[in-house]
Amino acid sequence: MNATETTRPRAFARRLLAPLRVSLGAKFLVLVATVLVVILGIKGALGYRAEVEQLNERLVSKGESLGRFLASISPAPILSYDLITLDDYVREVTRDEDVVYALIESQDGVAFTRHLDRAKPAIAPLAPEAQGSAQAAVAALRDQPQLLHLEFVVRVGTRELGRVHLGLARERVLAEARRELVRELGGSLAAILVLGLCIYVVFRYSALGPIQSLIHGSRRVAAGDLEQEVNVDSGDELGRLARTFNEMTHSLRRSAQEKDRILDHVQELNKNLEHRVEERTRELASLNRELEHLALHDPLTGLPNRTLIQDRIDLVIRASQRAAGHFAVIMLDLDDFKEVNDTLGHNVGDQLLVAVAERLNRSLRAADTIGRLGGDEFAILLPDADAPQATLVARNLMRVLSPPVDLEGVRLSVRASMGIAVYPDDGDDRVTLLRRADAAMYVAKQERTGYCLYDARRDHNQSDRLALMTELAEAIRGRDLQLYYQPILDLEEGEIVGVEALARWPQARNLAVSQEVLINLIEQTELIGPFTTWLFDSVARQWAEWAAHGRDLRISVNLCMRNVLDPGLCVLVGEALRCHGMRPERLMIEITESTAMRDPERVRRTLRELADMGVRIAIDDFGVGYSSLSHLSRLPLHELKIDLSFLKNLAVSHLDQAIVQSIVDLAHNLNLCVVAEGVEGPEVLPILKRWNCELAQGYYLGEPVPAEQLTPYLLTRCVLRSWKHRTVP
Amino acid sequence: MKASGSQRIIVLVLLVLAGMRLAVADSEEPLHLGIFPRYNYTETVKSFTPLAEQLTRVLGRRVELETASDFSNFWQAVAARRYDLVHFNQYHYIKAHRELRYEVIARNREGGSDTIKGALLVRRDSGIERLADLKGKRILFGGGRDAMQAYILTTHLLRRAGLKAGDYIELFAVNPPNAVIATYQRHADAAGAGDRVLAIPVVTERIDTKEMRLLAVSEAVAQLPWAVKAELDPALRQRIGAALLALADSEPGRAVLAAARLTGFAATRDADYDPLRRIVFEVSGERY
Repeated sequence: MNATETTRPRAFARRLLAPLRVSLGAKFLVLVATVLVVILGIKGALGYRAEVEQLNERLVSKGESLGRFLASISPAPILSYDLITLDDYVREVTRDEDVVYALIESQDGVAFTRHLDRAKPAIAPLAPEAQGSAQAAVAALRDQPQLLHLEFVVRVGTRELGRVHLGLARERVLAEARRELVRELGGSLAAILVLGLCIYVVFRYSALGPIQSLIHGSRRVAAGDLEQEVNVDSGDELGRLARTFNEMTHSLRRSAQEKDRILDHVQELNKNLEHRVEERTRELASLNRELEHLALHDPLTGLPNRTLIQDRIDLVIRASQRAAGHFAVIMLDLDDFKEVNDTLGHNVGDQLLVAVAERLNRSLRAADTIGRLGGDEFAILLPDADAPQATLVARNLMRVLSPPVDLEGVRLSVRASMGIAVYPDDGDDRVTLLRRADAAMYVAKQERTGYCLYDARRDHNQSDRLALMTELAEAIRGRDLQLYYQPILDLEEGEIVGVEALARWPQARNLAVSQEVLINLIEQTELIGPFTTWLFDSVARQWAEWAAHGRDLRISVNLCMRNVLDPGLCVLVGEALRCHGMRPERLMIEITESTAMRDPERVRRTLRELADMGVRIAIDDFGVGYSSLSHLSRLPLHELKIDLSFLKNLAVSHLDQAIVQSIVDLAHNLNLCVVAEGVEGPEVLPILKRWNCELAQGYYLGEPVPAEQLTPYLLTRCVLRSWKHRTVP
Repeated sequence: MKASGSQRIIVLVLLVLAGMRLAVADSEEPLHLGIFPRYNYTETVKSFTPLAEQLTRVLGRRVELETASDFSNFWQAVAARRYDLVHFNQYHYIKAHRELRYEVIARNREGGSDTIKGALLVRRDSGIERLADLKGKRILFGGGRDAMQAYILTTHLLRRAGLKAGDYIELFAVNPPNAVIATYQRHADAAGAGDRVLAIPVVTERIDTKEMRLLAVSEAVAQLPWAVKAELDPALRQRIGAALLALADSEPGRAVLAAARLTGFAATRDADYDPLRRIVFEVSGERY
């Protein structure tokens, strides 16, 4: 037999017993009822049988009594042929409910009388002949086994007169037995019901009630209600179970309370954590906003930075593309801001940028955007503006910037150069627009017109700084740059004692790149490294060349701040000196006042290292920048160069004379040699000599020229005058 | 035939009850009315009680109804001259007239007739066609030898037919209906009874009377008599006779007659029974 065959009977049994999946009370009732019904059935069957026997005995007894009585009273009527009386007798007898027939017959079998109660229900099914004469019916009934037939002899003394025959129906007995059985069953059933009910009630209150209480308690526990106890007072197993259940509930309640306490604690911790997370989130959000702001805004001015202004431009481009509109971009750059930084320091420069930013921002519309691209460079986005409107804005900005700015007791005049590019005439993408606005700005700066609309015809001059830088890099590598040397004369001897090396890029395309532009390009790019190497190498080689011809000149070289801060500077200088055998004391390093003050400690360390190498140090353009004499006194200086602006009107300006004299005195007091720059006429020479100014340089004494032009004069040791009157090729 | 003890007790009880019912206001001795046991006791009392009550009212004197369980007991009471007014059969009368000084004052009128006839009855399937065929047969007479209709008149028929005593077997039933019923039940070959016995309900209720037939019918004799003691006050005697004869004239009287199964009374003299005296003499040799 396989598993399927074995499971089928089980499944059938489950289906058969499925209706029995009822409550315990119902099962108990069914069980009790079944037991009682079985008992009742057995009792009923036995009782019925006994009743039938008893009733049968009674029937026989009654029949015998009737028969004997009839036999006892029949002799006289028989003897007197009183058949009517006999007939009355048998009629009377057959009135008995059980007697079906009665017959009195003579000794020889001739009936005196007979009677048949045709109303008796037992007759019809027993004897069809009963429908005929009484004689035939009685004759038929006497053979019926279903009837109780009794026979009695009628006698007088010993003489037999005849016989009495009685037929009794058992039907009534059976019916009575059945009725008795029904009564018995009814009574028993009632007793069963009462007994079953009593048993059920007892079971209900002693077992089901506690079980229901336990069930309800379990449901309450399942629902989380641990407060109510199961109330079962009995001392039986259910009572013990209830007490155990209550103990379990108590335990669960304690556990739940403990759990709640822990949960509360955890919840409190969670709340605190959430609060802290929220705080941290807020802080992070704030920081993010701040970072986002910082990422998109200039920390100094608070204006949008390059990234944000570029995004705004992109947005306006897309909007203008959809609406076929236009807008303008203004690139703004402060004039001479570098000088402010160099002379007044970056702090003042930063304050100036903030002040300028505030003025610009205030003067613009809400829809306009101004951003700081870096340094002193600003970009202004003017949505929906065309060229005339942008021009008006530029003029307004010039007006806004024209009032001087007071910063730390210094009144500064601010000028700016602005380039304007208009979408879509001057470009339909951000890069082009910015580049062309930048180009226009350079035009404005060169022409000092304040602002300039982009003009493609003039763009070739400023066309591409990247291309310019590329060419410059190639020029540095290809040694296309050239050093010009401006003579420095000893005023006492009138002899050239040194030169100042100045870089020139004579082969630059189209126009010669100005010294200022060249230096800016070099300083603002990574070209400064190769340039510096080239510079010192060239200077050292040139010195060696002149030295080889007997001219031991000192050569001055200008260093920018990036050079000074370059940790490899000293190595580079030493390498160049060693390479060409130049004596260190013949190399004069010049730095401006602002450079010296930018990072005094680092500057001092670098200069000290150079000085220790034997290199000499000079402060260039002294008098126009901001410097601390105490700080200067700590630097290893050897020379101080007076700014050419003091020499321009020295012959006529007493103020300049006082300043220059003071500077010379100061330098002498610091044991420094003094060089006067910007000597452009002979009138200042006596003055400078009178004040014991040792050295001078300027166009009057000699403009910067390539080395090959200067060398013949150096070799002839010509004096100042002859040099001055040379013929410049 | 002797009455049993229980029967006597019943008679006594009935007499007491009747005496109680018939108690009247006057303090005279009640008149004793004896009724022969023509029917069973209950039926006899039930039938004639209204008549006794009627006589009590008419006579202004209590009339006590008395009867007996059988002829023997009844005759004993007659012989003892217990009854002031007695209703019995013709034979009893002629005998009581001669021996006990009773005088007839009226006789029954039943079914409109004031005479009776005796008859011999046989089963139709008995094969008996003539009286002579009864020779050697069992003849069941409804009553004793003093029964007028059932025995005297029928025996007179037999004698006239040439059958003497001993030519047939005499059997006696308690009354004519039983004789007929027993004959029908084949306990006898012939029955001696009245000529109207087959119309009696007690007979028709028990047998198929069509199976029976009258073999012979006697001559008519006067109906059953009502007699009084000879010494009874003539006025009372006349009042009693008048009262009986008057019953048929009123509705209550007819109700009394109906209860007694009578249609009236006929005025009767003693000579009206002389034919009967002759028949008795011819049958039994007795001369009354």
